[in-house]
Amino acid sequence: MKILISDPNKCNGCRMCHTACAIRKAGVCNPEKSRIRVIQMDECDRYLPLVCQNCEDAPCIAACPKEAISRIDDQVVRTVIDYNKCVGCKMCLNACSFGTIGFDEDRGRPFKCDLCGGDPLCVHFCEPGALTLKDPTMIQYDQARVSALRRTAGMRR
Amino acid sequence: MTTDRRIALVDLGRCEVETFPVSMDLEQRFLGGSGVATYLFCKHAPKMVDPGSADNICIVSAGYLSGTLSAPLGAVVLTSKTAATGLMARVCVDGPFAAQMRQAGFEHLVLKGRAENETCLLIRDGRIEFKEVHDLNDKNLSDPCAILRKDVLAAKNVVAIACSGTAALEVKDPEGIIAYEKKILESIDEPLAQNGQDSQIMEGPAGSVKLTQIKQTIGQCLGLPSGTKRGAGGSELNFQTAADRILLNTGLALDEDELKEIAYRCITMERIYNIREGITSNQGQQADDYRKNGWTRKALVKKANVFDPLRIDDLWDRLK
Repeated sequence: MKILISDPNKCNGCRMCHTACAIRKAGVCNPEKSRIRVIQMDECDRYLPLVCQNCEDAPCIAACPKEAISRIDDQVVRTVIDYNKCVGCKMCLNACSFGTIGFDEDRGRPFKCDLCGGDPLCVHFCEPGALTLKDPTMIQYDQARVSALRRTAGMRR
Repeated sequence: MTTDRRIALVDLGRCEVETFPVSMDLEQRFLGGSGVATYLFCKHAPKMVDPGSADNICIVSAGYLSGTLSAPLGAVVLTSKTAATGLMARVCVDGPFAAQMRQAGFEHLVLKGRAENETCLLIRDGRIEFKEVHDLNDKNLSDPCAILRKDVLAAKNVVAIACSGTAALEVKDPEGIIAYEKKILESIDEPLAQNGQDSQIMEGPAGSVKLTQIKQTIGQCLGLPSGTKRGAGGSELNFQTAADRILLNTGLALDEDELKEIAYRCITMERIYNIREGITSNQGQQADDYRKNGWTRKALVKKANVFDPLRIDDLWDRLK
């Protein structure tokens, strides 16, 4: 069980991830068709790769009137859309707090990151290592390490 | 035969836009980016124009592979006649603007004339709007941006160009390019093979060109970011990699010699333009180079020996 983590401190805004995603999923270079988005935050000079967070209590699942969205937990935790049930009402788009669900106007249905079935392509294309696939239980140790380093920075000097 | 790439001729004085597609022939001869920009500049720039006047033109062109997986951000090349030397000058700008411009529907913008008031060009999904702006200042821009805006586009009264669009850029072989770029990324930490070719010189009908210059020109034509390892700009460009990337992204099959020929053609056009604008009577390093290497009007401006073999005979009337 793993989840996709994005680290804005490492992202350099090269857009490899969303170009690769659009090519894999739609066959064209079009950021609109990409499942991942890179948000440019000018005020703090950072880029934030934004992808479906696969929320534990997902608002999109609650919002879907046709119960087309479900959460599955095998290799990776992911919420998936069942296109046999989906009617394209865009309720999930409104419900998503992160804005990571897109809408395909040509086919009249929403799309979201499905983690490429367990081996996300964007992770392979992230040269600075901002996108990683991690075990959720290990994330707190990484955060603790960063926080400890920050605290001891003064002492080491 | 044409491609889905488009050129916009923007007349700022009359607020008119004329668009036409890039022909297949143009693409094969000059690729895109600085190559097509040089051709368009030679074709549209008036003879002996004053760089600061409204008649001078400025060309903004996105690299051939900008926005694709090989160069997701790409690079924009600005081409114009500069007041500093009175010759053709290029500014290469890395960053997401090139990809945005292609997604907004245009590859090349040819800016003519001068806008009456300070104008911002808004390019959105194949449409160009002229918007007058008054309170835009340089306070929030980084230094290079501010300088660029003051020096290059100030004479045209253009203060900003903004692009947004959702045009899909076709990819010839989606899975092929994914596999190819993945392989390149995985081998990125391997030391680069030094083949010692950089001091080599390529000979052609219009004199010699250094191989480093050829590589730099190809990088600018393709819009590969300069100065990075994976962008392979400048001397690190690998012709085989460039040819593979072009084939997988666009389906245009070129070999190493054809790539070199394209770069050679662009460099020759620039030289002939500079000779027409009277570089040989100038002072300085660049003028000395021209004199020392024998790039003179007599040697270069020959239809049968230079223009015809390089397939730029349609420029003969403009450059002779």
